[in-house]
Amino acid sequence: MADYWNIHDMLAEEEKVTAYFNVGSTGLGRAFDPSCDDEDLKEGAKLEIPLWLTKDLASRGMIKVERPSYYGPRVKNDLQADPRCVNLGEKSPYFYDVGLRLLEVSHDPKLAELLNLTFQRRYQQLLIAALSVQADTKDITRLQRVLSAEEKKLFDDGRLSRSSFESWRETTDVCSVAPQTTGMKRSQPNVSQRVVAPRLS
Amino acid sequence: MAVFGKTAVQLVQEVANMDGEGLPSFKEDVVKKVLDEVDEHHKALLNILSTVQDAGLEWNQMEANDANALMVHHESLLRNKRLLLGYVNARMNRIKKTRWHKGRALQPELKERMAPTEQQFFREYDKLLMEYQDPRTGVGIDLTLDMTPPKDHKIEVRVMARTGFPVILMMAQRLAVAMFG
Repeated sequence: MADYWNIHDMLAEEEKVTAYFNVGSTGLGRAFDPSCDDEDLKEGAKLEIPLWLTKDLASRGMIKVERPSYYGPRVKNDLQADPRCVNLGEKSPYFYDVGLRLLEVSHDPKLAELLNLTFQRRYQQLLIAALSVQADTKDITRLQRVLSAEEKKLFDDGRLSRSSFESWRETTDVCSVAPQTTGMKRSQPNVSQRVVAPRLS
Repeated sequence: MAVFGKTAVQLVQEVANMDGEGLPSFKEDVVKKVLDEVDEHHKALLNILSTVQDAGLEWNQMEANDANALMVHHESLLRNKRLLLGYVNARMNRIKKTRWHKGRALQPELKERMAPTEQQFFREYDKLLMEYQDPRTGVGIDLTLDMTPPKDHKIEVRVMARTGFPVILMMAQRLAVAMFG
């Protein structure tokens, strides 16, 4: 799923998650935690580590990953009350990407459902704002502030698509249909195929 | 001690925030720092491996603590590699784009911001493109001139012979598109 060359995937994987170390780590005490007074990291340590480091460690049972608080019950309640008001951009710019990566590790159907529902509800509002012509600029800036990075991309693409459509519709240079073809039934592609080239006599 | 790819992330963040045009200057010092970190991880990795070997242990008998540290160093190496490649790749794409949109001459202010290897890449990319566009070795058209398709879908043709039957219909249009389009 993750694209090796995608810059945003790289940044999404930099998000921190809490990990419980089931085993210690030789010589990495200070690297993980500067306040650690031992060279080695002790078993049972609880640390914030970037997401990219978790996958292989978790799959070998060396660590246990805890979900960041923004997938917890409080945010879930907020999302269920009104998904539009939750500021995902502030909580985690890569709300969905990080969630999907966590799913690779935990396979938790509840998390999958949360991501799915959140996206469904927010997408509807996002789409309306992106495509409507009379959208209030104040509304748009307010909305842009609460979007996650993935949503922002969709939103910008939506706006671009709408403005391209507008400029296409307003082109004055309307293609005129050549007089020879006016009688043709364009809906019947066979007609043109049946036209036989005239013989030169 | 290394900081698990934090340094390299700065580079990627920079290219992620690039706007439509222009190129930030190549951060050679940061790249060098990342390479040093990679070296550090590598040494630590070899260190752990040699202690395991000295103890006369097989790989699957390794202490869990050592195995964990080994994994962390290994993952950090791969992470740094990916971030560095991402940085260079994003810049390379930008440089290619410059060749297509701004032409053969490299603007001095852009040249200043490129690393010597990037300048060399630009020259060689230019050479390849020129070879492809050359009438003797390639297609014989300057492909960078017209980057957008024409607005008008109709073309002008000269009728060479009277055929006596006006069948300039869909077929003819298609033919023209196939031949000149």
